[in-house]
Amino acid sequence: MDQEENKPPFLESWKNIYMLILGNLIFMVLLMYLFSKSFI
Amino acid sequence: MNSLDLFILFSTLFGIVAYGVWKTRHSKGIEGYLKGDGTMKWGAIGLSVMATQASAITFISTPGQAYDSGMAFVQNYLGLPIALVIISAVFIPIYYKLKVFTAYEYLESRFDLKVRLLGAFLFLLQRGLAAGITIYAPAIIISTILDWNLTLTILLVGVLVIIYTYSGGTRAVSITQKHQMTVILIGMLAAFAMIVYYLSPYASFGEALSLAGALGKTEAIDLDFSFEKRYTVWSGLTGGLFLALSYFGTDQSQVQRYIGGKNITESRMGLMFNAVLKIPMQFLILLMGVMLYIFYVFYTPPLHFNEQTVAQIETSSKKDTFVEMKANFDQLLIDRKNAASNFVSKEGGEKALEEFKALDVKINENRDSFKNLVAEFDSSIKTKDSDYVFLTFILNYLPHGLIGLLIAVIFSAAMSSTSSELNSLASTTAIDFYKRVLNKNGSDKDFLKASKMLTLAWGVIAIIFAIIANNAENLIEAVNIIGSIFYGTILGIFLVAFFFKTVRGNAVFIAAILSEIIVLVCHTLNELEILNVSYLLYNVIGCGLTIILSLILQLFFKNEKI
Repeated sequence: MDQEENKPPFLESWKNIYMLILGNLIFMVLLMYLFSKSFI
Repeated sequence: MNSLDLFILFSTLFGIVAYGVWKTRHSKGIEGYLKGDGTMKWGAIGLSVMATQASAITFISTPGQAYDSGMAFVQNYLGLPIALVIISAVFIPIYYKLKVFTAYEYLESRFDLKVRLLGAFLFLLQRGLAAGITIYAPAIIISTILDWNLTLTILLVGVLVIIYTYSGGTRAVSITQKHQMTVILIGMLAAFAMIVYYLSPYASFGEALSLAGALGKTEAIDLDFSFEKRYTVWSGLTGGLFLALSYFGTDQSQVQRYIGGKNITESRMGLMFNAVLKIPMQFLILLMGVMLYIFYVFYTPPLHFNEQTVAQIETSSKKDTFVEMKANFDQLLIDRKNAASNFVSKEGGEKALEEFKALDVKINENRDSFKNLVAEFDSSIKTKDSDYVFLTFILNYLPHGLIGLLIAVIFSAAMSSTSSELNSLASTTAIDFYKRVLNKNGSDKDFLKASKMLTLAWGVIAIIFAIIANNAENLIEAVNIIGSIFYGTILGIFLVAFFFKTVRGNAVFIAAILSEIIVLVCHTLNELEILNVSYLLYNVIGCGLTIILSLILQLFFKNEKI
C-alpha cells in the first residue's frame, strides 16, 4: 500500500489521530460529568 | 397527518429511492455492486456507518428511554471510540491487504474454509433474524399510532429498500444513506428546537434542565463501581467496547460500509468521523427525551402513551377504576405543574422543588398503577409505552409539514439500516457460500446475478419475518439479545485470528461451536428463569470462551499445519 495513501489528512500520523480521538473521549466524559453535576 | 404531511413523507421517501436508483443505473460488475467500485470518500463512509447503526428503533425508543430513565444510557457508547480506533489500526489494514469482499474471507486466509463458513453462517443467522425486526419495529409503532395497516406499512418499507438495494448494490445503499441521514439530522434538530420553543413560555432551557436534574434525569455519567447498576462508565467502557468491536469490526453490514472506501485513509477517516460524532449524537437524542419529560410537566400528558391500550380499558370492565385513576392523575398533573412553575419563578424556592419531586413520584406511581390495571385485565397486552412517547408528541404538537418530515425520519432510519442488512446478507451468501463453495468457476456476471437475486431473496425473507413477528415487549432489547447471542463467538474467532497466532483452524472451530452452544444454553436457562444473566454478558461469555477454549484445544492439535 502506498505510504502517501496511508497518511491521515492532518496531524501527520495515525497515532496522533488516535490520541486525538481518545483525548476527545476523555474530554466528552468530563463534559458529561460536569453536566450531570450541574443540574442536581 | 394531513395531505401536506403525506406529500412530504412520500416525496422524501420516493425521492431518495429514485435518486439512489438513478445515480447507480450505470453500475455493473461484482466489484461495483458489492464494494461500490472503491470510490467512496470518508464523509460518505462516515454517514453510511452512522446510518447503518442508527435504525428507526434508535429514533423511536431512545427519546422514550430517556423520558423514563434519564440520560444514563449514553454511557453504553463510551467504548465505541476505543473500538473504532482498534478497528482502524488493526482490522482495516488486514481487510485492505487481502482485498476482501466480506470480513469472513479473512478467516479462511488465517485459518481454513470451515472457520470462514462458520463465521459467515453465524452472521447470516443473527443478521437475518435482526433484519426482520428492523422493519417490524417501526412498522408496529407507526401503524398503531397512525392507524395504518401493519402489513402494508411493512411492505412499504421492505419493497422500497429492495428496489434500490437490488438495483444499485453497495453504492446505492451509501448514496441513499447520505440523504437519509441528512433528513434524519434535520428532522431531529427541528423536533428538539420545537420542544425548547414550546417550553419557553414556562421555563428557559436552563430552568428545564434544573427541573430534569432535580428528578435525576440529567445524570449522564455514573462513576459507581456497583454491578447492580445497569449503566455506569465502567460497564460502558468494557461491555460497550466488546459490543462495538464485534459490531463494527466483524459484522458484514458495517464492514461492507468501510471496505468500499477510495483508499485506506478514507475508510479510517470514515470510522474516526463516527468515533467523534456518535456520542454527541446519542447525547442529544437522549437530551431530547429528557426535555420531552419536562415539556409534559407543563403540557398535559396522557396517562398511558399507547392510545389503543387506553381505548381497550375505557370500554372494559375496568372502566370505573380507570376513570377514578385518570381523575387523580389529572389533579396530580395540575399540582406538579404549579410546583414546577413556583420553582421556576423563584417564588417557592427549595420547598417548591421538594413538592415537585414528590408529586412526580406520585404521577409515576399512577402510571404504573394503570399498567397493572392493564395487566389485570389482559396479561397479553403489552404495557410498556415509552416507544410511543416521541411519536405522540410529534403527532399532537408539531405543525403540519414537520409531522410528515419526522415520520419520514423514522422511515428513512428503518430503510437505511435495512438496506445495509440486505446488502451484507446478499454479499456474504454470494461470496462466502455461492462463489466459494457452490460455483467456484463462475464468471463475474454469474456472481453479480446471484448477488442481485440474493438481495431480493433476503428482502423477501425479512418482510415475511417482519409480518409473522410477534410483538416484543422491548424491540430494541430484542435486537440486542439476538446480536449478543452470536456476536461474542464471532468476535472471539476474530480476536484469536488477530492476536493468537499459534491457534489454528481446528481448535478455533471446535471452540467456537462449543462457546455458541454454551451461550445458547445460558439464554435458554435465562428464559426459563433458572439463571439470571444479563444478555450483554453473552458477548463476554461467547468471546472469552472462544479464546480460552481455542488456546486449550490448540494444545491437542499441536501437529496441525497452518
